[in-house]
Formats: sequence, C-alpha cells, structure tokens
Amino acid sequence: MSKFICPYCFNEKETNDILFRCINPIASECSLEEDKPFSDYWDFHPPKVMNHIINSNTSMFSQKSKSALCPICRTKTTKMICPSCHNSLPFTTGELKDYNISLIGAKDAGKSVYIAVLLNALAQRIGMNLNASLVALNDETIKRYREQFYQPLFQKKELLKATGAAGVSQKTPLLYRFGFEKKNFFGQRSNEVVTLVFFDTAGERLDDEKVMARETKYISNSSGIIFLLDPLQIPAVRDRLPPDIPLPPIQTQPEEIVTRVVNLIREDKQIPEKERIKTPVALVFSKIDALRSLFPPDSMLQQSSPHESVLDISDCERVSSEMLAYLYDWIGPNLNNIMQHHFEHFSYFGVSSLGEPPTGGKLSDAVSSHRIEDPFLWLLWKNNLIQGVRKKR
Amino acid sequence: MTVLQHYYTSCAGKGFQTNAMSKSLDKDTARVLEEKGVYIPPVSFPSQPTLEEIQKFPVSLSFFSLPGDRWSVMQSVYLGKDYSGRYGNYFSHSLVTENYESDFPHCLPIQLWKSPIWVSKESAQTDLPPFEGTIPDLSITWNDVFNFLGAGDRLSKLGQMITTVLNLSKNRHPIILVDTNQNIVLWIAAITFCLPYEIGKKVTFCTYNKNPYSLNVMICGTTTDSDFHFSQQEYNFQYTIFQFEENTFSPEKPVHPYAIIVLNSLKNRDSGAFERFSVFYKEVISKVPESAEELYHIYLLNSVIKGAVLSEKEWTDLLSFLRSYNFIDRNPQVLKFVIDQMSKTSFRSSDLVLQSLDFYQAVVRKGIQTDVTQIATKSALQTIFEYWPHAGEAEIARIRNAIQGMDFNPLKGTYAPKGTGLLHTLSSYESQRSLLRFLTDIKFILPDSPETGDIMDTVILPHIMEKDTQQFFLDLLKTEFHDPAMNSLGRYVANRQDDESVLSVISALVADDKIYTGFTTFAIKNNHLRLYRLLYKLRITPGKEVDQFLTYYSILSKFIIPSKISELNLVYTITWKDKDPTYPEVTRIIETLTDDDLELCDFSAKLAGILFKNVNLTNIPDTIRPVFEKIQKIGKFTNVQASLINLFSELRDLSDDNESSYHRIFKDIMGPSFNTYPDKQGEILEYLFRKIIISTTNPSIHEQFVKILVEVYDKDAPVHSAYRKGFTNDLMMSGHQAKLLADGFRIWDQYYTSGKIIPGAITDFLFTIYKDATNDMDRKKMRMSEKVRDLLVDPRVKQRYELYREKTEEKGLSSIFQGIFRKK
Repeated sequence: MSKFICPYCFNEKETNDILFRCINPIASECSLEEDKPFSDYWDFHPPKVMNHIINSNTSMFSQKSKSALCPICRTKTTKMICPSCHNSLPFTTGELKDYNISLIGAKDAGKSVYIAVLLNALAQRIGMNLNASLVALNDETIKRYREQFYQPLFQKKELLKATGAAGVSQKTPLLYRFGFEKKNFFGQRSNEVVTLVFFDTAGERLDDEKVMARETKYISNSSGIIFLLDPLQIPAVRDRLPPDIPLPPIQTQPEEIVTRVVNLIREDKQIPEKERIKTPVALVFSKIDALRSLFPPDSMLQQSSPHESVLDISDCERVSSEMLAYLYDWIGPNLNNIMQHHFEHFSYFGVSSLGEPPTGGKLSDAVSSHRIEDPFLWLLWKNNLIQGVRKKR
Repeated sequence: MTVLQHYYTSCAGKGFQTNAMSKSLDKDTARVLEEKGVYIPPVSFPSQPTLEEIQKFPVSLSFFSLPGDRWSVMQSVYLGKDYSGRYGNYFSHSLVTENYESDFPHCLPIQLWKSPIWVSKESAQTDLPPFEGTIPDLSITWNDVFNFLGAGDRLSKLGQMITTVLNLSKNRHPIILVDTNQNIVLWIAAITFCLPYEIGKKVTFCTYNKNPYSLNVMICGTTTDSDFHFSQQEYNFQYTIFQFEENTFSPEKPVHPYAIIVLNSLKNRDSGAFERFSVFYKEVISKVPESAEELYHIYLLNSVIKGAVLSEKEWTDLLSFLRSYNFIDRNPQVLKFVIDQMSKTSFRSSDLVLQSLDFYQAVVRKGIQTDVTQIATKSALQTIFEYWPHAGEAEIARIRNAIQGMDFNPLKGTYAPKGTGLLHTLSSYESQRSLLRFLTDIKFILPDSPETGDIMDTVILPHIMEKDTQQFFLDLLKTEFHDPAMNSLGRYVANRQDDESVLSVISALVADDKIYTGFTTFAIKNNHLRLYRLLYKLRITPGKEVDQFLTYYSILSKFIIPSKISELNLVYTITWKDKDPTYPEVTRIIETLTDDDLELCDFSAKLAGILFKNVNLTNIPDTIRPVFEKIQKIGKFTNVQASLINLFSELRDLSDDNESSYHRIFKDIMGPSFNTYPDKQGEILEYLFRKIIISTTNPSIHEQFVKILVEVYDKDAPVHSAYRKGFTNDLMMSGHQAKLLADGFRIWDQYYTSGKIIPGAITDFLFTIYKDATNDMDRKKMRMSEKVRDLLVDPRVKQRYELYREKTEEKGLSSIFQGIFRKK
C-alpha cells in the first residue's frame, strides 16, 4: 500500500486514508461543519467552518480513488485533504513519490535566498541540463515564489525581507512537480516525475529545540536535508575578511543546530544511538562569494559547477574535502565528528546564491549564483533520482 | 481583571520572536499571538520604504477570540528594517483579556485604532507588566461614522455589511473589505457602532492582513494585491466581498430587518438611539441567550416598550421571538408592557391573531405572576371575540387549542354577555356554532343559564339537518347540556308538522342506542308522544312488531293524550303498514289490549277477521277460546262470521232426532251467504256429517243425507269431502268402528251396485272404507273386518263384502274396484 507525506503536517499516511472535501459552494445544499484538525493547524479559534469531509471508503486492496462523491449533496470532488491536518493535498499525491527537501540553518544563513535562487535555477539552467521541468503544484506556490522571492530578488534586485518565524509562510510549503529524464545503467532514458516540497524555515525557529520540535515531522520525514551554514557568522572567518564585507550578527552555533536535528530525527524515527541516520545531509557553506579572497585560485570553490545531466561525484568529493579542511580550520573538528557519528551520508558544499554580497539591502548586479545546484543534485543522486559519474580531470 | 501583553517583532540579533510578554501569559497563547501577529505589507507598497512611506503602510488592528473565553486586541505595524538592516520587520502588540467589557469599558475594539496605548518598540525587558493604562480619548466617534457614511452610497453598503454580520452564524460568509486602511477602519466602526455593544464587542475583525485566509474573523480588511483570490466563487458563495477599489461586490442579499432600522436611524444621525438600545439589549440578553440573529426582535421589543406602533410583520416576528428562549419565564414585567400594547392593537392577519393567542396561552401556562396571567387571559378573550366573526374552521380549531389551560371564569361576569351577544350577531352559522361550543367549553354558557334554551333554539336547532350540527348536538347530549338540548329538540319537533323531515333529523341523531334510549325516555318524561311515536317508527324491527307494538301500548299509558285510541290506530298502521299481523300476533294483541281499547280501535275488526279465519270453529283450542270470546263479546266479528258461529253453536247442541233442524242447518250452510267462508262451511258440514254418521238413535238420518249427497250433490266435491272427513274422524274417534263401517258399507253399497253414483266422486270415501275394513293384513284389522262382515245383515251385501275381502287380500285395492265394477 502506498504512502505519502503531507506537505503541511509532514505526517506519513497511507494513500488509502486520504480524505476529500466537498467543493459545493452553496451552503444550503451541503452542510458546513467545523473542521477542528484544520483549525488546530492554522490556530483558528473558534474552529473554522468548512465544507463537508468525505471518506472515500477505499478498500485496502483497491487503488486510491482520485475523486469522491459527497454523500450529502452528490457533488463530485477531487479535492484531497490530509487525514491528519485536513489541508489540501497536491493533486499528485499518491501518484508521484514525494521528496521533501528540508532547508535548515541559523538565522541570516541565507536560506530564503538559497531557495529563491535554486528554484529559479531549477526552472532554467539546471532544468535545461537535466532536461527537466519544474512546475508549481498550486497557486499559492506560484504567487508566493513570485512575490516573496522572484520579484524582489530578480526584478528589484533587493535582498529578501526577513522570513517571519510564524504565520502562513511558515506553515505553507512550496510545492513543485519536478519531471526529468533519467538514464539507467545501460544508458536507457526514462522520464521520472517527483514532488518536491521546500519548506523555508525561519532561522529563529532553530534556536530553540522546543520550538523546533514543531518542525520535527518535516525534518525527520525529509528525503534530504540541506543544512545551510553561514561562514560570515564564524568568528574565525570574520576575523580574516576584509573590513568592507558587511557581517551579519552571530547566531546559533552550527553544532547546536545539528545536534538538535539529530536528536529530533532519532526521537521521531526511534533510531538507536549505535545506528546512523540514513537521511543524506548536505552541509552547505553559503555566501562563499564573500570568502573568495580566502580561497586559493585553484580552489574547487573558485570553479564553476561541472554537473550537467549527471552528478560529477568526483567534484562533489573534492569540494567536500576542501570545505572540510576549511571547517577544521575555522571551527575545529567537532561538527564533522558529530556528522560522522550520526549520519551515514553527508557531504560539504560551498555555494553563493547571489554571486556577490548585497550592499544596503540591494544587489549591485543581477543574481549570479555559484555552485547553487551542487547540494541539490547530490541529494537527488543520493535518492537515486539522477545518475552520478566520476569524471576524470 | 488583568490585561496581559505580548510583543512580537524581529528582535535585535535574534530575528522574529516574542520580544516580551506578561509573565502569566502561557506559551501556547504566545505562539498563537505570534501566528496572528505576522504582518506582511502589501506587495504594491515600497519594498524598501523610507520612514515617511512607512507611515502610510496599513495598520493592522485585529480583534479575535482565543481559546479559554479570552479575547485579544492586537495592533501590528510595519517597521521596515530590522536590527540587521533587513527589511520586513514589524511590531505586533497584543492585549489579552478575559473580560473585554470590564477591561475596556465603553470602548469597542475598533475604537482602539491608533490608540496611544499601542507600543511598537522592542522592550528591553522580556517580562511585561499587565496592561493597566487607561484608555485615552477614543480615536473614532459617532461623528466620524456619520461623516463617513454620509458620502456616496455607503449607507446601502453598510446595510449589506450589517446583514452579513447578523447572518454569519447561518451562512458563514465573512466580510472581506478592500478599501483604504482608514476607510476599512470606519466601515468596521460603523458596523460595530450600529450593533448593541454586547454584540459589537464580539465582532471579530482585522483592519489589514495580506492573507485573509490565515484568519478566522468576521471582517477582514485587505488590499487588491493581497493573497486573497477574489474568485467568482468567493464573491458568490464563500465570502461577502466589498471591493471598493475596483467597485466589485458580492451579490446583494435581502437586507436584514434590523439593518433597515439601523439605516433609518442613521439618516437622523441619532446615535443616542443606538446607545439606549444597547442598554436595553444588555438587560434583555441577561435573560435570553445572546444571539445576533435575534437582535432585530429585541429591537422590536424595545420599540414596543417605548410605545412604538409595530407593523403586523413586526408583531409576528416579535411574538415568535418572545416565545423562544424562555423569555416569558424571565421577563414578566416586560411582558406586561407587550401584552398591554397587543391589547391596544387590532390584528388583521389571521396568523398574527392566532399567534397572539398562542402567545397568551404560553404566558398563562407559565403562570409566572398572577397579574400577568390575568391580563394575558383577558387579552386572549378580547382577541377571540374580536376575531371570531372572521375566523374559519381551521382558525377556530387553533383558537380552541390555544385557550387550553386558560381559566376564563374570573372574566365571566363581564365577558359572558359579550359572548352571547356576539353569538347572535354572527352571520355565519359555522361561526355561531363554534362560538357556542367555545362559550360552553369555557363555561360562559351553562346548562341552567336562562338564555341557554333560547340559544339552542335559535342557534343549533335550525341547522340540525346539518351533519356538523348533529354531531355538535350529540356531543352536547353527552354533557350537562343534555336536558336543555333535549328540550330544545322537543320544541323543534313539536313545531314541525312534517314528520318526514323530523324523522330524518332524529334518525341521524339516534344512531347511537344510548341516545335512542335517552330520547325515548325524554319523550315519555316530557309527554312528547309525537317524538316518541317518531322514535318508535324509526326502530320497527321485522319479526318483533308485536312486541314493539305492545310495548308502545303499555307505555302509552304514561302519556297524557287526548285520544289513546287514535294513537293506537296510528301506531298499528305504522307498525304493520301494508301487511297484517300474524295469527299468533293477533291473539297476543287481543289478549293484551283491554276490552274497551279493543272495542274502540279500528283495527279490532281486522284482528277479529284474522282470528276468525285462523280458528277452527268446531274445535277452538282452550288457549284461544278466551281471545275468541273476547272478540265475540265486544262484537267485532262480522254478521256472516257471527252467523257461522251461531250455526255451529246450534248444530253443536242439536239432538239426533231433530231431523228437520239438521236439514235446515245443512241448507243454511250450503246457502250463498257463506260462500266467502268456504273453509268455515266445510268445517261445519264435516261437523254435521259426523253427528249424523255417528248417530245411534236415528240411523235413518245418515241414510237420508247419503241419499242427498248421491242424488243432489253428486258433483259437489267439497260436500263429499266434508262427509269423508266426518266419516273418517268419526271412525277414528268412535268406539263402534265396526258398526260405523258396516253401516257405511251397507248404505253406500246400494248406490254402487245400482250404478247411481259416479265412481270418481266417491272413490275416496270407498277407498277409506275398504282400506280400513278389508285391505289390511294387520291381525287387529282382520278381526275388525270380520266384525264388519258379521254386522252385515243382508246376505247379498254380506256376499259382496266377502268378495271384496278376498280380492283385497289377493290384489291391490284399485284392481278390486275395477273388478267389481266390471262384474257389475
């Protein structure tokens, strides 16, 4: 029986448990009722009154129906809702495999900007390389991406507004259908379509384990975690940078956040201490454009990303090794030790979302991202969605 | 009470989080306040605004409920940059109260708009003291609202908005307002100002939110470029949208009656009316469940108490409201006002009249206070009397239902005459009857009231042919009105000459045996013979006529009447109509009726005739004899019958030797005057023949009559038959059978042998004779046959007799005769 992960509450459920919501807008024809799970999710008090919820009564052996008939008004509905939180599910639920990509990191690590740039790159350059298409699954995703990410960053060339730690944006994921061409071992091509769920977490939420626990499901049910580290918040780095580089306030230490994430996943998934967590983690140093002066000219981080339709594993390994060396230098071995102890798959990356540091909240030029796709492609490879090769240099 | 505080903003070096809050505010509430405090500016506003520009950003003042019966008023303002210089920062200041009214007296939440109480700067301390400040002058007043509504078509839009808010519990279509931030505030102010404070203070709202879907408030302000979809479906079915920027609105709904009232008051800029109503509303809702839907009704109630004249529609609504929510239980003094106003109002609509009666009944049933019950009862009665002439059957049924449980007795003195007076003025009989029923039900008309009989005579009986009336009448008969009803019926019957029509009336009334018995008893008791007779006529049962007739006869003595005899004659005719009583019935009648009555009754002769016809004069049974003699005594037999009886009497006493008398009597009987009684002729003849056949003193008389029979009446079968019966009967009864047979053989033998008789005429006789004498193998009969032979003297006769015997023993009788006559 197939399962899915709700992109709102991140509970894993059987597709057969999916509920439907009647779409008859005429209240006199179909009764409205208080929806407590939905209201609890959105903190509505008193509970919001919504359309009738329909159980499609699918047997355990039959395929999940894509529609249901309202027993009250006989209206046919295709509006699927999560059996836990009663939020609307993407129409692909149950059809496509869901890949939740968690993006976590301390405040000001550049998570929103990274998402904004990555999604734009996926829709354009990376998409072209992978022969892939990225389609938003709902209007909210389109509108939100356009208003909160694309327009300020790509059109107005302004730094994104601070992500609120609460509210709708913190409860509404960005949902995409990502279709791409996949080659098997023998080079045969096939089309693969997956659902990508991005959750732009406010950095503030990761400062408190109790607050972060609300995102437990989201992180522990992820197919991959992008853990964004802001090198400009590392004192050793700050000391070495030229004085004209604007520095953000120092936030939570990366080890602290990683430790919280580890604890959350272990607790939620009941993974014993002696076992390592299998979720691949990309530890990504952001804003490396500001560190260029610290990298030697032959640094892998000075070079463009070589990945095209496949992942260049060698490149990833070399970047990871180099970043690890810097990590040791900047903050010591502790973070890597933690990663090695707890995670089976992890790799270090260095990215620049904007290409250059903003000045006064504005970009002086167009967005010119650097190695933005590396962590994402690595996660796709780790999830067997794309091929990885070792290219010779 | 304590008003707790909460600040939410992007804190220096930490980002968005709770900056500070009152100690006793729990974390769950703080989390909800964080969720609701999110402020995202409109997309169209500058993304990196100057301080001046920020002043123009919409201020979000929101008011919403929190779990645990708490409320929050929150102001969110955009600040622009955060501590790090990044844009998107805002500040949300929340006040949380458990009792809004006491914490913010005389201040609607919207009046806290841009109040100096709001903070928009981070607190250095994380613990905030509870809010204890006083509310300074309110930023929005009635004047602001009046001025705002005075422009354009705003009043009609306000009507729609109030309608939406009042209907929210039913249709759940929250209001979405798109207008300038200031206008949105004034719209919300106008709506909440026009509602009683108790309701207005519970209207949840938000003056601005980029994503109205994220809130669950009744009114949400937003902008055209917000996250709200403004889909057609949302316009038509899910929200009530007032998009003033683009002039698009949800379809208009019928304006709530309260909203109509509001709009009228607003035109007069009478804010005092709203304030006074608020005070009244608060008093009322302390006694009924709070409900925005009932607001209009409470307003009507307020109007009534102030003496306003309501329309019938308004009365309908008000009464319906007053009957709900146990209002009657709890507001006796208010009820007195209402009932007083109702009694001064003449309702035209039937429904309203009936509804008012239901209301009075509900008041009476509650029995809250004696004085309230009394005025409700009085008003109910007054309403009933006023309405009765216009009420149809269905309405009357409802009235009857509505008065159940009401005691009108205390009002009887004043209202009973009004009721009876009304009874006579009603043009419709249906109304009269039902009013009469009503008046008897409530005991305004009692059985012994002097006017009762008159009412019965004038109201009921003229319509007694109608089915409904009959039912009503029968119902009355089962009550204490039995006697006056019966008396009235008696008068009715007495006054009508047409028996058939009277019969059709009472036949419908006496379908029930009990009623029938009651009727007859009534008729007897009241010497109402005609009614009694008609009742009798109705129930004549075939086969039981004589019993009924004799019962009638016996009961007749209980009546004082001018002529018993003519009544008997009449009843006799009624009883037997086209037929006659049977003989047993006749005997019973004669037996029962007195000689005098029999003598005088016309039908006595008829009875005598039937009796005469059925009685055998020669053998009248002892049981019948007295009856026969009774009729004979009173001379009810006809002359012919009497002659026949006399002839028989003479014959009976006649001695054997009185030959001439026998011949005379025979001659009389055979005379034509008795032809109408052939049976009686036959009986007397037979008797005569028996006497002469059996005569021992004068044997020749037998021979004389046989000779007459053979020579004169040889072809008269009845005569020969009478002779044969007489001979046979004598033979049976006599102790000298052998002699009788021998005489017979001897007398008749000569006529056979001489051939003077026609064989056919006498065959029966001979058959009998010879059968008995010769043709029986029975030993006893054999001996008898021998005796007969011995008694025969003439040897030739004896010889023929022997010959017959022999032949008879050998063959059948008929062949014997044939043989004899052939030999001859």
